[in-house]
Amino acid sequence: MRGNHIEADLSQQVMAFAALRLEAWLETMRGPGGYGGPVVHWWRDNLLYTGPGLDWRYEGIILGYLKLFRNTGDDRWLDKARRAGIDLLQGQLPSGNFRHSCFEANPGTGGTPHEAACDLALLRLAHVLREREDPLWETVAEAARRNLWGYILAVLWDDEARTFRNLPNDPTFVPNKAATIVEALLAWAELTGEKEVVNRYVGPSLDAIVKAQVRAPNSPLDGAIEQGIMGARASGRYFPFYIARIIPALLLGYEATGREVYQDAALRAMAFILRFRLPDGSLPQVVYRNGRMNRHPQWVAGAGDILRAMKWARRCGMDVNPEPTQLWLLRGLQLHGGIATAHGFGGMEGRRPSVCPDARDLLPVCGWADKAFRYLAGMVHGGNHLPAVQSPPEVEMDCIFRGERCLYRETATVLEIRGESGWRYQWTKGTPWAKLILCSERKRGVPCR
Amino acid sequence: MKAAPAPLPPGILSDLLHQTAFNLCAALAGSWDGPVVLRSGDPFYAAELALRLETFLQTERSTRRPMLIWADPCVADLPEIADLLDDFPLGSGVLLLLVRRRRGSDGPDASGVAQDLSCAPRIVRTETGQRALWPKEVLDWLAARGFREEVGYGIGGSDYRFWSRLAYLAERLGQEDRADRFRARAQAALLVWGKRVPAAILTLILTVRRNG
Repeated sequence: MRGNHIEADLSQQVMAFAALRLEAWLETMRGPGGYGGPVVHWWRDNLLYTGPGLDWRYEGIILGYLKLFRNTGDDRWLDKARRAGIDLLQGQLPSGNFRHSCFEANPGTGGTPHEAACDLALLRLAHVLREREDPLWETVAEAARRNLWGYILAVLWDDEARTFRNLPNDPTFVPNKAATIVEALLAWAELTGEKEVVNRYVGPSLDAIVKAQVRAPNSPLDGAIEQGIMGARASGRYFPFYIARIIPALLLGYEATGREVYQDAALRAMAFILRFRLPDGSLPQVVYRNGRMNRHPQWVAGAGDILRAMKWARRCGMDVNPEPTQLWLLRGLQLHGGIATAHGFGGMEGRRPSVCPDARDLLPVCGWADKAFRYLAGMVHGGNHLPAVQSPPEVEMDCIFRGERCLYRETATVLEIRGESGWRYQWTKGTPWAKLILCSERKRGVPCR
Repeated sequence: MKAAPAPLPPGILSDLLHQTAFNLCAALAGSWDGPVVLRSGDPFYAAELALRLETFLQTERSTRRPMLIWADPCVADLPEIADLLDDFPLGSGVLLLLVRRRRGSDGPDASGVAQDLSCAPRIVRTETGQRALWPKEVLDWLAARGFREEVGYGIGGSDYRFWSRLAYLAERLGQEDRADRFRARAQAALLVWGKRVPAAILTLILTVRRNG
């Protein structure tokens, strides 16, 4: 019994140390205007725009710092949460939107669920600042209000369907995006005491999410939640990662309204996730309505949000063992403190992935690392006796980039991918655009301008 | 009050193609050491490219080797561009963003992918009603002013269109798993170079002034 406690303490310490190392890496990703860097994603990659992205990365970064502050009482973490909040304030447009809020589609504005994720972070920050009697709290809360009422509720809310649209020009209902909005609105209600948003928007949105859930007790798909619904047509795709992001909203909705159907939906969603969890603790990328699944790529850093959902489910009394997924997450940690984004990007196109990882797997991305950071930050406590974080000056790893065997190299100031005859991709940290060199240029010896 | 909808891309091209082209254009301009000038008669192209150029134009740059980004060139642009290029010294650049338009009907096909991309010369209008310049016309015109092609990229070549169509068909048939794999293949084929550039829907060509 005692042995188990020691093991638990050790793994908690390992995760706590990982949080601090990841925090040190995040610092290297800051440039003028905020956290930058390339983005890889299931939908598309964006290796070229590397300037600040005021998108969902701020959710995990601000909430991770707030967790560090709450758990340790150390003001430097609150200062960093505050600094990230100021990035959002300075990047807010007159419309209430945030600049460069489209993550994989940056630079652009009006990104979903990204702007709602920023609102959630701002509102939680405002809450803490108000407790500390920091006068900035009102400005922070006002920024979230301007976005919520100027964009989310004014443009994305469909009064007829009583759901949120995916984008201004796209009426698709996307449950995970609505869930992020729900969390932001509930944070608003908690901060201000205004409950009208709960009846008017939160309830109908959660009802629509419950309606989008598969109810088939004898099917392995039971509990899955549709990725998107356009009119009567469902996408037929169930993404465990996105479903995990819905669970906290459902449980918060249950706490706010007392409607048990939300708690039931959340726990059934978690049961679906656990049913498809693989022995190594990872999750497939997507499960289809025909029961097939596509593993590629499996999120590593993003597993932080899955673990967070597991924590919520455990609080409700569900028997969930997070350990395999914790180990999966920790295996992604890199020497410089960053965390791998995924495993298996190379197999995305249906080809057998190479033994050597794809560069997109290795590439740590702020908008994925924030999810690991937010989860791991919860493991840090004031009583921890952790060594000082010291990152090596550079990290090198073998990888495949566009079919070529390359070397991934990252330092505190540069991230580059090198082939035999020179670099193929290069980003000087802090600059808004990366450089890419393609095969024709290599053959002709023309430098990438 | 509802906000005005965002401007839609002109023509039939998908958002992914445009985004890739605009970002590549900005990345190339961002690594150019001289000042960057943007010319496009098309308001959508002008707005999207300006948004990206704003991210680095504040930084101090040498004034010796300017670069012109000329997006969706049309005949009406020629006098102004000719005047502008007169002041461009050796080593200056012109980055062209060329759009291939369909010869047939104006509407998109159901998959959102351009169908007939034959480049047989004919009069084609830009979104603002101007006669668009053909790639060869622009390159010849620039060559006459000493600008030589250095690098070319295509966005949305024939492989991209092939896999996109398959993805669309698989989706229509309710085979979402196949659709996703085909879509991933399409994305992997999005950016092309070398001989495949001329068949692409959008083309970026960097020319540099080598002689007066």
